[in-house]
Amino acid sequence: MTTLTVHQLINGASQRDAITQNALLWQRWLRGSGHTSEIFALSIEADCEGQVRPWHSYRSQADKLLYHHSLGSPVVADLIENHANGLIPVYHNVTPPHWFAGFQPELAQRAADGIAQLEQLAQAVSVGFGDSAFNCADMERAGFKEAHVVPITFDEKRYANVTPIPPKINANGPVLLFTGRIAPHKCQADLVRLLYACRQIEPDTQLMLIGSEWAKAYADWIRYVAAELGVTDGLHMLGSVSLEEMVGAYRAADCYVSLSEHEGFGMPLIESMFFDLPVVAYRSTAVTDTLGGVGVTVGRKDFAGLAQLIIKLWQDGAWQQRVVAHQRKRLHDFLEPQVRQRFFEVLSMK
Amino acid sequence: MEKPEEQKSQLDIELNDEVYSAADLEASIGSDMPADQAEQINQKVNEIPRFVKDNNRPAIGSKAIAHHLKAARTALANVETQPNLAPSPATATPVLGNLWGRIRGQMHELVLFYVNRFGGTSGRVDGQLIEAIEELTALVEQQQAEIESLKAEREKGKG
Repeated sequence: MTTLTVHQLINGASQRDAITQNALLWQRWLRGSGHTSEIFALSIEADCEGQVRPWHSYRSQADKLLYHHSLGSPVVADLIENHANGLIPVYHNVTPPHWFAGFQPELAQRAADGIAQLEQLAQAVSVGFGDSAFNCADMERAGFKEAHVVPITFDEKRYANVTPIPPKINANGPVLLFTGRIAPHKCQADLVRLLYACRQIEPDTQLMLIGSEWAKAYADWIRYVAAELGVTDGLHMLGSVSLEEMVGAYRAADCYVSLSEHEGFGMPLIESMFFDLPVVAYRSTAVTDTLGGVGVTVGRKDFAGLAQLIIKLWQDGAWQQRVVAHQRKRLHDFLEPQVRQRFFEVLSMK
Repeated sequence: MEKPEEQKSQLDIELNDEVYSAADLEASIGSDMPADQAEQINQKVNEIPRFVKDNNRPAIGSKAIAHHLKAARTALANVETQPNLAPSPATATPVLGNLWGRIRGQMHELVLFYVNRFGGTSGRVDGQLIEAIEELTALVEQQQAEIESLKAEREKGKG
């Protein structure tokens, strides 16, 4: 077997960051297969010191350099200028800037830069990886000749010895869950509208939202919508939670509902599959690819109709079982052996 | 009595199931709720605008500000200015308890005199500030509308 030098570059390294976790996992696979592999980053948080090296110390001419791209980065020009040989961009998606333009202009600019840089990268190299078919389609639109899907790996072991902490919610009706940072493109306010609609059928319906209040103005807006619709008592904004609390929430919920209008991958959909939680989702962006035909998806946000669908699913135990069984099968595609095999397949391609 | 018209679902469902088809579910959903109830629900939830409008501007504006101002006005109107003199074991003591109750009442009145005087001034200031914010909100809305119309005119001119 030919041993290679395959390094990775990420913008910011932090143990809490999904891209960092992904890079660390790939490094483990590469080293386990006898390849030389280091991770470099532009900024490194204390929890990654010793595992990740600063980009300015990069001197190597690696056989392959996997660059994890999302928001606009100052490193792209340097990569194109000096490291295009062997460079493989790994695209984790950029939320379109219009979702932030009116209230977070700086972030909107970084998003716009990220999209423009994807096109610049496509002019310099022809092959890239994306973590969903949706992301690969973006890459092809940007000009990449080949874009290969390498999904994010679902690490079952992470949940193995977790003692769940259940949420403090007493409900006799359905408990809905959505996980994701509080941001306009995730459309949590639409879930509050759905909560209102569900409560017209099942008055004790509850909605749990897990995720940091990343966009404070939008978090206030969600509370405002809840107050206007008179469903504040059914809305539980749990914020950023521990792993134990997150597992507790998945276990306590009856249905995972996503009305998000932009997902680059949608890890909580996979988590729901793992926790045998039936998924009802609005078909948008990478949601369709990640679900791969399982769960129940809708193409329109008719809140009254959606409420009836969810209540029907909640009442029909046999249907829930069938949904969960299909989801379990789909989960296998994201487990380590399958993704590892896929990773080495696409890495060995010319 | 006339049966209410059945609601036609607009969900565009997709699923992979051995028992239900998407068409079954659409039909079942359509028959589970009278059309007028579904329409009322959708009308109610859609009255509130989306946070990010189609023209890339956040919808959060006068409506959210109005919500905060409403809450501020409600809070201002409900400032407690009455003495809270719940009976205590001391006031239940024969003879002395009655005297203590009266002294206690006078002390509360004295404190409240100054608190109310301060609260009154503070409340008037808060009220004025709320008025000013409301005026500013109206002005911003008006200016925003003018900006939008000028933008539209400019676009038209370009075309």
